[in-house]
Amino acid sequence: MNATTLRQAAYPTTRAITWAPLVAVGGLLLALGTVLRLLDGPPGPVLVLGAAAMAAALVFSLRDPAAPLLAAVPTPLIVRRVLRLALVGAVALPLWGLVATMLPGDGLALAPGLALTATGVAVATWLPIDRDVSVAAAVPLFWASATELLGGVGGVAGDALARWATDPWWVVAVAGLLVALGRHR
Amino acid sequence: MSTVTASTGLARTVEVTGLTKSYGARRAVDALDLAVGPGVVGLLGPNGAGKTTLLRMLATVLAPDTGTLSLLGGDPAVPSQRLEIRRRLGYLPQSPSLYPSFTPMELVDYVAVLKEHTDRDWRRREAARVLEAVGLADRMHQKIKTLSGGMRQRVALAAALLGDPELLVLDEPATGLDPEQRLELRALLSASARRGTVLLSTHNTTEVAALCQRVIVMRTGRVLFHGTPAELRDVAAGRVWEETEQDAGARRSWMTAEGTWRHLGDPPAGATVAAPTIDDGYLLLAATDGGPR
Repeated sequence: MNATTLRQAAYPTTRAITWAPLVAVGGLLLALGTVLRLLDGPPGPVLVLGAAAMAAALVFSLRDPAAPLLAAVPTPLIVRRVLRLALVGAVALPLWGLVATMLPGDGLALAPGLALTATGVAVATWLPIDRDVSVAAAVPLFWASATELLGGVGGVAGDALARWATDPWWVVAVAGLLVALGRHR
Repeated sequence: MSTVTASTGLARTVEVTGLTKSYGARRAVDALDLAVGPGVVGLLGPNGAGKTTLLRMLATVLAPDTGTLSLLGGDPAVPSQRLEIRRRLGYLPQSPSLYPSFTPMELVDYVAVLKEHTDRDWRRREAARVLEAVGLADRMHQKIKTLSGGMRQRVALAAALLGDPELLVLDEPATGLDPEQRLELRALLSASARRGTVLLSTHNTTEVAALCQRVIVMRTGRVLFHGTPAELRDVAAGRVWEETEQDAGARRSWMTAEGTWRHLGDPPAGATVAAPTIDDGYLLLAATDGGPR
């Protein structure tokens, strides 16, 4: 595995990625940002779910229909996935930044979105190899929805549930550790 | 514990001891021992026999629960050795999905990149060579979504053949191929076997007879038989007979195209014994081991 392999794999990997979910969610976020800016309204739960949907779309980009065919190539799955994330991230980050600039305050901070994405990637890393990554892609949506729905419960459970929003870098660190531990799977 | 030695006397490319893999409470592969050298080895068995699970472990895709595995002299449980094995391995999974918007040339080239072949000119030549070998020379620049199922299967096979791997693991490679394409596949795999080891699973006993030097019959994760195709055929020697009426005492019976009944089992006195085929040997083996009667 070397840099030349990664460089040469970048273009075909770009073509192999299913972009439709990311494009759809990106368009939705832009539309939401525009509406909120026009109405001068505060970012609400819809925007939180929009951000979670973006995280889900990023995780979904790991879905590779040809994965069984590529299962025994010397370029490890973790490297192929990191490449996919880098490619979709190169599109998602500017889009995220654009929407963030449209909103007042820190309505769409980057760190919570990263925390949700990293959690989904960690789940994808530890899924049984035959399991579709769609399960992992649902994790950001599920977590953000649960926080919105049960956010008022308070206590230890409530704190833990909101951790992706309150301590996003810790969540990123733990998820990153889980990915690193599962890199040989 | 079931033991198989399918070596042709040359260096063994695959050595397996006590290999076990379970899915929940079900043992897909059960304490299997296996040693395989160069040549074509066919895996026969009913659905659920554990063929695919075994092949996935031999392709380094699936880790066993217990047991040791040596492939091309390396241990796939060690990440660095697994990478080295994968550099020398070709794998065709069962009914693989491909990228519909790619052409066969683009897909095989992509797989070659992921197999760490960084020389573009070599890659192009090699992709063209393997696609030509599987009979897709005139389709290599056509989108995969426009190809038939058999052609897609051949694209995946071409990807497995990249770089003349020393160990080729093929899960039902003849699926979706017409008789002429099957013939071409046999020639292709025979040529590959001259350079290394080809392990393939199939439901087709004719394929085994025509292609394989050794055959392994599996059932419920265990090995029922190992030997040459001729030895598998001889399992049914003296135990096949044909009559105009069905014999209730036979282990298995079916009506032939000629309208007579072919029976497997212990022939009654006076029955005319027929020459056995590999099919007879396989079916008799399966019936003897508690398979469908």
